[in-house]
Formats: sequence, structure tokens, C-alpha cells
Amino acid sequence: MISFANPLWLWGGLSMLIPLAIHFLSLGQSKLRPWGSTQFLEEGPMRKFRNFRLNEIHLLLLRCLMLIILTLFLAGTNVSCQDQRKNKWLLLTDDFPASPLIDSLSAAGWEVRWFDFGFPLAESTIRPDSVRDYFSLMRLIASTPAEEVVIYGPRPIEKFINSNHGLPRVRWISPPVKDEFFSLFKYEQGGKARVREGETTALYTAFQTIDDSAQDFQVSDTMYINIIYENNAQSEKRTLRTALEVIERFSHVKFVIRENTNALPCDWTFHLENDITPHNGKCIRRRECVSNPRLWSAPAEADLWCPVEQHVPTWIISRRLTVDQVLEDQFLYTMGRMLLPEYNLDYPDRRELPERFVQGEKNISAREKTVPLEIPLLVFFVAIGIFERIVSWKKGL
Amino acid sequence: MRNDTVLFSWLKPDLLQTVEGLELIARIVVEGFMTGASKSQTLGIGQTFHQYRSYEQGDDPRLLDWKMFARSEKFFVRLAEVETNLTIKFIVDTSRSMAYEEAGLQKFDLTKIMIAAFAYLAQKQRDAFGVYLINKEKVVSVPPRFEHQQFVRCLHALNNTIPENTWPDNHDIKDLINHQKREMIVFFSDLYDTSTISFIESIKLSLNEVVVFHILGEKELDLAFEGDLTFDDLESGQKVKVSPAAIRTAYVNKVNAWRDEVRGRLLNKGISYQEINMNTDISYLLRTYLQHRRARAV
Repeated sequence: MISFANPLWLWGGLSMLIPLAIHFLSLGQSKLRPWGSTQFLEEGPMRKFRNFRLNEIHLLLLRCLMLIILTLFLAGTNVSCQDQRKNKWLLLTDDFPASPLIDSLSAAGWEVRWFDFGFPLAESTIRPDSVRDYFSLMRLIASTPAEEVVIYGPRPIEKFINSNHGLPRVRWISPPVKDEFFSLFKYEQGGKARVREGETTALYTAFQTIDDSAQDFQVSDTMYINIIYENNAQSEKRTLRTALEVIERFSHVKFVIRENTNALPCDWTFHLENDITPHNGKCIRRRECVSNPRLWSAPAEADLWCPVEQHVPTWIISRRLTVDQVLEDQFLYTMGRMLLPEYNLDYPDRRELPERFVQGEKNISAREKTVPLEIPLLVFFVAIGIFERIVSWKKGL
Repeated sequence: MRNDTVLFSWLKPDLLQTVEGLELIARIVVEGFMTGASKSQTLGIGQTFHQYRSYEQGDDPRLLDWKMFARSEKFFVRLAEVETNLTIKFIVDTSRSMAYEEAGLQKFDLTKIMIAAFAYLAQKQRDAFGVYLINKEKVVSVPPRFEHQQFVRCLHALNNTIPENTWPDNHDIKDLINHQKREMIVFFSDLYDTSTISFIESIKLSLNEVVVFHILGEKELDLAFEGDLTFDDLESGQKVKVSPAAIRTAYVNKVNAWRDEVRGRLLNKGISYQEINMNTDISYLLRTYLQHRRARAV
């Protein structure tokens, strides 16, 4: 793939018209030698003329080539080339039962490895039990000799794929998901019990409130969310923001996310801090289990989501937010259910790759190396110039 | 490399274009060549009385005028002007091809120098000589005479002529040939036109001697050029683009065959043929000329 730093200079290619014009205007003219009689030169003039023209054409081509090289040099030509990688890897996120996909790819010469640090071979090692860091692993894939990579496992949330450049060709294939029906939670509001239920199948995931007598939440088009965090919670803040963006994407409500502000209106406040300022509104707090017993003391094995007390729309997340936690479907569903009055996700087929992911694949698959051609072009230009002079001198033109 | 490098350095166009210059060159050439070889041409037996002088020891006793001795009882030798016994006609092909130039010297320039030198020599040898400059457009004639001014007259005619046009297809030769008197015709040409050879053949009689100086350029013989060239025929104006290196061998073979053919044709007719390379030493040309002249003058 050729790219140019200064494409405007490509107009300089028109300078090729100069030698062309000179060539065509000077056709029939050359170094004239008065001669006594041409009677001994006339035999086979066509052949000689053709030779002569050929010599002129050779020189013309050399001169045009010089101008092309000069133009390319001035335009700052770069060449991008793809790394040639031969290996094909199938990375498993979990110890799946036998799958036709795994079998067929293995038979086709794909190496089956674990989607974990070091990418160990699946046939010789058991699945590492470490906590995955998807971002790091994706970057690590880029440094492997794999030409093509398929990751087989539950599809992570699209937002977390990120637009990592320089990755080899990666596809993410999700295994079929078993249908699951679960009851999320039950709560009471205005004296009425409301039950939020979720259902996830191979085709969709949906939530609904099953209580006919329940009052619907007021549905607003925009939801204002404040995130109040400490400096040491930057990573958690980013994770939380991304999680919120994911939820926003699957909902019909627009989130306005603000950070470290008390601006109003504010529908929800997220506290990612140790010292919690009293708050009257709806809020979600992240507290580690025993970090601040003044406000809340939960057992070490407490659920991730813990209510402060009944009827108060204040929730505490009992652990630090990590990517793995957020990638858990339950976390997002739970948080989405809390934030949104009606949480009905337009969830795509989990077995198919979202369009955006495919586009992202194109970006990351183009592992290209850009090579500037300035020096080679300069050397080539000088070489052609010397060659042109020698040919000119030899031909006496 | 020329042997007469010093002379060659004199052969500048501005010098050649003047009668004085041409005469000077002729003198340098001839006097240099004849140094130590000349002897009085006035002493001898002839019809025209010149003078008496006293007999000196060593004079041939046969030259004594016995009638004068009878009258004066003194020995006198009777001197007479040596009569011109040879007429020399210089005929020059002044077609455009004679303007072919090498190293700044045209074939016609070389011809002028040769004629000037030959004419000067002829004058010293009391030969009558004339010049005929012929091309299709005009003929310049200086009929042969034995006069002091004849030399200058010939040089003037040479200097007022430039090579142009072509050789005439049919030239009237009746003015050129004297059927009654033996003469020597010296012809200068590059012989590219075949009608030139026919013309030379037609002027050759049993009574006269015809010498042909075939003038060719060094490069015309070997086509020693680098690179591609367009050759412009001086007479026809035809242009031929060639790569000399590619056709050199074929060209040299053709030219050699042509030279052999011309030489054979002329020699068969009893015509003396002398090829002159434009690099040839002029003294060599004079020697050649004198050989022919002596053979004719005996």
C-alpha cells in the first residue's frame, strides 16, 4: 500500500510532459552530419531508423522515470507492508465441551490455546485460573506470531473491544448460550411489590417487571449521572463509564455523565470514594467490604450488590470494579435494571459478531508497517541519472 | 598523423580564400618539395633563340655555335628557350559533395591546394596549364596557356568558385580535349556520381594522359562515429538516420567494393587512378603528380 506525505507534489508528475513534448517536437531532428553521399548508408534504412528511434525512446523512458522518481521523492512516498504470519490460533476463554468449531479448526491446522497470559496450548495444559485482563491480552495477541486468531468464548461487551491498532486478524466467536431465566430481585415501592425478571437466550436477553399492580417508573429521555471519584479510582471510573455507555447503547435513554460535580439535575450519583458525603438522592456507592464500617458493614462474602436499607434507592457495590466484573452480564443487567425504569435490551444474536466488531477487526487486522522510500528513491534517482548520462554519451545524443 | 603538420596548420579557410594565400601555400609546398632538385629550364635546344654566352668548361661541346665561332673565332654557347612540350588541364568536380569537410578542411579546399601547387610546379617547368571547374549549374574555364599571369588567373578562378549543385549528366567535352596535341588531364573528384566516371572515360584518348585524384575523407572510409547520427546527403539532401556502430562493417565493405570497382574501371581504360585520403601528405601527392608528368613529358 502506497501513501504520500505530501500528495500535492504528485502534480509534479505532469513535468513528464516536458521530455515527452521535447521528444515529439524533435522527432526527425538529431545531430546532423553533412555527408558526401548516402548511397552506401541507404540499404535497410528502416532497420537503422528503428534502432535510432529505439535509442531515443530508451532515453525518453529513462528521463520520464527520473521525473517520476523525483515526484515520488518530493511527495514523500511511504510503503505499508503487512507482516507475513503463518500461524493460526484458536484461543479458548473457557474449558468448553467438545465443539464442532474447535474440532474443525484443529483439523485445519489451528493451534488451540487458552485465552490467557502466555497463551498456553490447550492440549498440554489445563485452563489457567487467573483473572483475565482483556485489554492486555488483546495487546499481547498483537505481539504473537499468529497470522489469524479466533477467540472462542462468551462475547465480551462490544465497548470493551476498544480500537486497538496493530492487532493481527482477530475474530471472536461466541459459543451457543443456554437459555436461562432468572429472577433478579424483588423490591417494594409505594407499598407495592415489583419483581424484575430477566431472561437470556441464544437470541436475546430481556428484562421485565412482572407486577401488574406496579406503577411504572417515570420514563425520561435523559438521565443525568454524576460520578464522584477519588484520584486512586481513575481506572474504576473508566470502567464504570464504559459500563454506563454500554447500558446506554442498549437502552432508549440518553445518559449525561458528569464527573466530580454537584450540578443538578442529577438522577443518580456514583460514589467511588472512601469518604462518602451524605447524599439524599439515588446513588450507588462502591465500598469495599470493611473499608468504612461507619456507613456500612457487610460480611466479606457479601453479594456484589447490597442495599443499604429497604426503600432507600441507595446501593453499594461491595467490591472494586474490574473489567472482569463488568464483563459479567449480571453486573450490567443489574445496574441497568436499577438505573432504567424499563430495561429491555435490544440484544443482538450472541452467536454473531456485531457489525462494529467486524469493522474493528478490519482495523486491527491490518498490521501494517510503514516504510519511507525517500532514501531508496534518492539512490535510484542518482543511479538512473548516471545511467541516462552514460546512454546519452554512448549514443551521441 | 600527418607528416606535414606545419603546413597543415597553415591551411586556414581565410588563407585559402585569397589568391595570395593560395599562392603562398603553393610556393611553400612546391619550394619545400623541390629544394635541391631544380635546375635551369632555360638552357637547352629549342626553336626560340634566347641569348649567347661564352663557353665554359663543362658545357656540352655539342651546344657550341660553330657559325658564331667561324665569325668571331670565339666559343659561344647558343641558348634557347625551352619550348612548352606539355599542356596540363586541371578538371575539378565542383559538385556540392566536394564541400564535404573533415577537420575544418573541405575536399574542395584540398583540391585548390593541390591545383595551386601543381600549377606552380607546372609554371616552373614551363608547362601550359588551365583549369576547368565543372558542375551542373556552371562551368568555369581557364584555357591552358603558358603565361606568367596564368597561375594567378587559375587561382582566381578557384577562389571564386564554391562547390554546389551536382555533376552534369552530359557534359560537352569538345572544348576539353585536344586531339592534336598530347596533354595531361588531372581530374579531381570524389567520384560519387557514376556519370563522373563515364565522363573521365570519355576524355581518355590514346594521345593524352589522364590522372584521376579520387578524394575521400578519412571517416568516409571507416565511418568511425560514436552514437547515432543523421547523415545529410550534400547533393540530394536526403537524410538517413543510422547507428554507425551497427552498420560499420557493412558500410566499409560496400565502400571498399566501390573503390575497387572504380579503380578497376579506370585502370582498364588506361587512366591513372590515385586515391587521396584527406589526411594524405601533400608532398606525397606532388611526388605522384611529378611521376605522371615526367612519364608524359619524356
